[in-house]
Amino acid sequence: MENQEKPKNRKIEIDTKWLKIGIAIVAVLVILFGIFSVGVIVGRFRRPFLPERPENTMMPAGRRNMMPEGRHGVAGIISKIEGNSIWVKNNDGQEKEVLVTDKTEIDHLGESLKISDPKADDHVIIMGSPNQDNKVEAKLIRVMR
Amino acid sequence: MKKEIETPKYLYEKVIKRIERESRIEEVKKQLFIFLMIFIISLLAFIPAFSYFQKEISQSEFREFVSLAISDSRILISYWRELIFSLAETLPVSSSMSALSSLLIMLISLNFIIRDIRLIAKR
Repeated sequence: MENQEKPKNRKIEIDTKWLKIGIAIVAVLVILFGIFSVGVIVGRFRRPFLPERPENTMMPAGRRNMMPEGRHGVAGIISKIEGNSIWVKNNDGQEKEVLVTDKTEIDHLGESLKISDPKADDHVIIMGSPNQDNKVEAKLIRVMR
Repeated sequence: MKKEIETPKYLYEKVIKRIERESRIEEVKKQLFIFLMIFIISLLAFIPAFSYFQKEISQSEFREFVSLAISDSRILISYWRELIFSLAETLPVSSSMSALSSLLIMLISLNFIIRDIRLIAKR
């Protein structure tokens, strides 16, 4: 009985090393996403020719044409093919026109295809660059049949 | 006959220290309650924020560009510029920000909860 002494200090040993690492990682991500969001907001504000801000005509027309609004990539299902244009419907139901040029690389599982090979209802991932008409000029079309 | 009781040395200091420690523990308990509340609120905020993020990411084209980048290293090397732009354009920023912010608050409050529990247990 004499040997059974109560410990004077109760200690809880919880290693918070991983928790601190987690906090640091999430904090860095929040900062990066924050900077990115601010950039997106500023970009939208400085682009007064966007369809959702038609009332703002501060920017001269010449300069407006120098700043394409289109996107660099589209993914979705081909809804229509007309000449060198492909219309792709994304998951939100929005249709985007993509221009196919001579330099466009079209492939399916590593095999290169011709411009006539993609068909309507094919699932595609397209990457390229926006032109002055806000259409995507395709550099790569990956067909995901 | 009245016998004088001899008080041990440093008794006064010990008593004062004990009182200080107890009052400190009371403060820590209040802090613990506050951090616990913050943790619960941030957890409650994180659940819908994360489900909204999941919904947005499944609807956006972001996932498809990521899968393309992972599946084909040649594309990653040849079209890295277009890929980065496409990822940035399709990233669901607002939902990921809200999910990450609530997660950050939750983790920080958890860190303080553990610290406070340690302090209380040390007494």
